[in-house]
Amino acid sequence: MFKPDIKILIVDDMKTMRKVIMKSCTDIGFKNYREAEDGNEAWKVLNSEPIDLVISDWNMPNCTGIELLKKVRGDEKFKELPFMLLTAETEAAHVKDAIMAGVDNYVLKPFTTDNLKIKLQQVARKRGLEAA
Amino acid sequence: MTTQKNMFDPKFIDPFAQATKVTLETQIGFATDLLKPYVKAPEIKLQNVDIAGLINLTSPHFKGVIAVCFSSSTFLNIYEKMLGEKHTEITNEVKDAAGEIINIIFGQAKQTIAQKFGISLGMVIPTVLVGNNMEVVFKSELPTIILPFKTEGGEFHLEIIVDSSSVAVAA
Repeated sequence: MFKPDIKILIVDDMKTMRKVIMKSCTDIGFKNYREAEDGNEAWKVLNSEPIDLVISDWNMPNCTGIELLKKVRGDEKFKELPFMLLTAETEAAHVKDAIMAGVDNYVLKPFTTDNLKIKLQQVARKRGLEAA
Repeated sequence: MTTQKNMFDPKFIDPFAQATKVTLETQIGFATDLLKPYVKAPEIKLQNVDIAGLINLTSPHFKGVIAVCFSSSTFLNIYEKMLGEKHTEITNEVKDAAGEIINIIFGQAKQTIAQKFGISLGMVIPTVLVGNNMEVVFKSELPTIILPFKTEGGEFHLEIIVDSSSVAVAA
């Protein structure tokens, strides 16, 4: 189980995918969300309010998921922030880039709610987001 | 040694067929069956197309177009299953989902094509068309392949043209 009231920042340029992720997360038991359309908007949100977990798409205009991840890990305030990438880009080089940049986990599209839950549980264990 | 392949190679169709099935079954949650594929011809009546998501396939050695085509009733069933929201018409919000579905299909197929054939397709932005009973027409001398699918939410099809004329593969 996850800690109650975890606030998730969902970053995707496609509104549908943000809604799909929110629906899955709600089915898993989460209820607090913020949304951003790209990495730049996400960065503004991160600097304006507390966020417990980021789930970000990889491919977005302006600032991609991997660019956002590098920015987050490069900032002292956010370097321990749980961060998951969502991507259809499964080539080994891309996954390696994400791991090198400090991603906590990644989810491949298409995904099921069960698959997302397993990935989130792995992140929760690693980053202390599990309920006591 | 390498050889030049013919312009149209059916082996490049299968990754899109499989990607469509996986996407509908995994992301949407509808059991999906591929029906018998055929070449598009004027005398063959296709199902109504009210919304279509299109993507151009781009790479230095590989060109084409894919379009996933739905009637409004099938698409609204898919949308409801995907997001838990019931709509009675194709709104801009609903339209966005067609772009996402073709994006996911493309991403899956892209991975398979890279793994199986060593061909890297470029990143693309999908286009979504909405209208009443549209016909999707590609300007190409190559045949358009229709991949019909049957799901719990209704039938839909994928239209695909693949020009692999400049793909050089090991003989």
